[in-house]
Amino acid sequence: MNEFVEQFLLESRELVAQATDDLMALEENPGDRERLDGAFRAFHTLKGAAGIVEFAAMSRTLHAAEDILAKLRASHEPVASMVLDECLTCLDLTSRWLDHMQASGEMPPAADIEADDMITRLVSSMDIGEGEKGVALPANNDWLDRLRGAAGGHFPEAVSAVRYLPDPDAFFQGDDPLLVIASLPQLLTVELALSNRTVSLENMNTFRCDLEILALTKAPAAEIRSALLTVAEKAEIRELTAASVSTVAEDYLTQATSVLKAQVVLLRDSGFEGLLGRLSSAGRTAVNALHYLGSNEAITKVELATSAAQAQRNVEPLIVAIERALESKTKADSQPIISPAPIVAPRALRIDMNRIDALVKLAGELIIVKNAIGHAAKRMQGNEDLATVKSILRDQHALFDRLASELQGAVLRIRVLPLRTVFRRFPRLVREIAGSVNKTVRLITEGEDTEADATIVDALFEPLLHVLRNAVDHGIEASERRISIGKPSMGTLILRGRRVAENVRIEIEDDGGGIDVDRVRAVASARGVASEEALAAMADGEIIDLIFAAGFSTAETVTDLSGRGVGMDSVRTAVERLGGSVTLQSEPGKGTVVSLILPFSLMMTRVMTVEVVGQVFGLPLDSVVETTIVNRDMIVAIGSGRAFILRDRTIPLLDLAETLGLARVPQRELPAKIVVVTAAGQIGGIEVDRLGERLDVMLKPMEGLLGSMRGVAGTTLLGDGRVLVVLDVQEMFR
Amino acid sequence: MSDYSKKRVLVIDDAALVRTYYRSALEARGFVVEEALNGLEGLEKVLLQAFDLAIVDVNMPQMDGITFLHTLRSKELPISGIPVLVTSTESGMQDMAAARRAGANYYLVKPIKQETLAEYAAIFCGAAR
Repeated sequence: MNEFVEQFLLESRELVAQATDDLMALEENPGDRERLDGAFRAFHTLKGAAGIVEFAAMSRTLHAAEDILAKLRASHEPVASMVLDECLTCLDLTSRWLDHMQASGEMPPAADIEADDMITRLVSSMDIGEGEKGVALPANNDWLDRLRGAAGGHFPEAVSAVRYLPDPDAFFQGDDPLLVIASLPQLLTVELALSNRTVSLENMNTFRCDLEILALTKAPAAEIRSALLTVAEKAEIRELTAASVSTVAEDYLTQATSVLKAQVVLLRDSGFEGLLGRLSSAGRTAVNALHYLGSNEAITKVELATSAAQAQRNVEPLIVAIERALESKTKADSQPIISPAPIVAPRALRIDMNRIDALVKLAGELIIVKNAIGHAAKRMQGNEDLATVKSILRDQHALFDRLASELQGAVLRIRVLPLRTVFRRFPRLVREIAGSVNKTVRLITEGEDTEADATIVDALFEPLLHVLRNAVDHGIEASERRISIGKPSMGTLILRGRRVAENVRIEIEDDGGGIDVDRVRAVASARGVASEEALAAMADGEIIDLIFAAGFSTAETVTDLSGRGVGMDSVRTAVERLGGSVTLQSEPGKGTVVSLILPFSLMMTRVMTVEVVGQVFGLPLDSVVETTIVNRDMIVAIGSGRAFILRDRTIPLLDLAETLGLARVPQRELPAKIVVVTAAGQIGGIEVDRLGERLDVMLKPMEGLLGSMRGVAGTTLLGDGRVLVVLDVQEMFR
Repeated sequence: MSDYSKKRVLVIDDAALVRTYYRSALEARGFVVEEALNGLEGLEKVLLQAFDLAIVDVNMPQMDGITFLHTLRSKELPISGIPVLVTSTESGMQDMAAARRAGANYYLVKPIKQETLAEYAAIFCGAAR
């Protein structure tokens, strides 16, 4: 991993998103050349980025995809959806790799195997898409590593590596691939392998040349290129520059020589177009390369030859001068090169310049207020009339108040992301989900520009996916049914985001069958979610709300999609953990709207206060599920602990006073007041003396000597100046 | 280490990561680095400022590296005589030949290590070692 990984991750995600957008658009309109070009470029840039962080598996996978897109660009035919699917899968794989790198800071361990699979899929998708026409050569950037491995470090003097894939019909064309390789200048070693993995001894066709020939030579790449001119399109040549560190200095001398030689090749290849520029640039390059090599006496000759060539508009004088310089090149100058110290890139975050400007402006205004308050203090010392000072202070306080809240808003806005970052993953997932249950559904996204705290946006993927899955699986009817009731055969899902005051509201609307209240009622009764009497008394809205109850799932058969043992209750839990809420409206036959209402920012923590032995403590509200009052006889001793029954579930119970080591008189006569919390996915109860209020607080983590104190999430100041200790619920149940 | 403080290199690549990567390699060696996002921007830059070397990517939006080279070489001297190092992920012979025909002075296959790039820039800018 190198110092560019952070920027790599940032940019790669943008590129993946961009490529996904383009591919999705291509799917809608397979003839859109612009989108095809865009996708191609995004893959290309991604591949380049992978190269910079030395992520070989990603690089070759993307190379394979890029090859396919390049072919499509050249073919001028509409793009087959099969090919698009594989390219999208390739992007998914890339995303997962990026996730892994971001989470662990390491390259994904299985990337090589995954890359092999992906490349095979990509190549075969193209075969099917194109019929018999073009069989893509497996994109292989790892041959260099294989060659190095086979050579076992025996040839540190190697300058170039060659990969040559002879035409399968080479033998019939009178070619002798091995002779071609054997004729390479300064050949060091040759490795042979099968180019077609499916060939085995049983099915081998001895007249086909299924060979991959790898070779190392001491000659520079330019020389190899000219030796392989007849089979140019079948050969790949690499200069082994940075690979052999021990011979860096030697290598660079060789490279300077090879730059010189390249100028000769360039000049030989020159037509009349841009001749003067070519002459001048080749001359300058040659002079500089000679400088680098320390061949000072040749410099003047090349300079003279350059001006002569320009005057005559003829490349020959310069070619001759460079070739002479090459011949007389001295080898005495091999001072080792000290490689530059690595540069540490600063940790960076991309922020819209306007947001920074807003901060700067606010900072400036705050300084002015500070000065005004200082001024007022001085006047007070100077025995100024108190009334004047009072009015100054009151005005400045009002100003300060406004600026402070603006500053808070501006700081929060730095942490926001548009919903697009999560929304754009869905059109394709919805299509796949719909395909797997034989429905056709289109997803329309609206309000992607709506912003929310990055933490919230990141955490929205799972719950949204769940709701969308439910909508496709249970909401939207099968095509035949839709047609029979006069709806368009294709179902429509709308994923909509918008800002409502301090909240972000996300709606998932479907035009399906709506929720069957009677069925919900029946299922709720059968699963014991509520008693028959209670159900009978409930209004339709309340019944629908039962969908969110734990242990409820209306799907009668467990499908691959929604029936994974989690129902809408998991959505509610996830959203509530983010400080939000979920509501649902449904109209039979028309459809369902699920609304997720989320706070705009997460900087404020919501706590619930509780009292025990006269002391007040806070519990983070996002871990509080509910509060309940339980009769003592419902609490039973289990082993050394206690538990109580809540809606047929046995829930472990802690006594807060006992846990905190506070002494108190047991209150056996009153019912127990219990806060039900979730900790690490488990439900638990905490018995307290008194339930308090909900507060929005800025939580301050424990610092310094108290930093290592366990069981405390942080502290905050209450309105009356008391310190409120907010407890870490997870830790209490450990 | 030689001083390249007066040597000016123009990096033309659409990928910000690549530009940053090259820039940090080159600046560490004392080169002055200018950036352009595509061939068109690259042309604007060379028309306004003098450069000792241009490092050009092939595949770019708006104007690719090969078109940039063609256009550059057809300009008047001294602009047309700027040495150009073409970098690309394509290692096929056709791509190199296309770059050479367009007037590239050298061709490097990406990915290129920082020290390699810096050393090539040193060769092209010609300070004695």
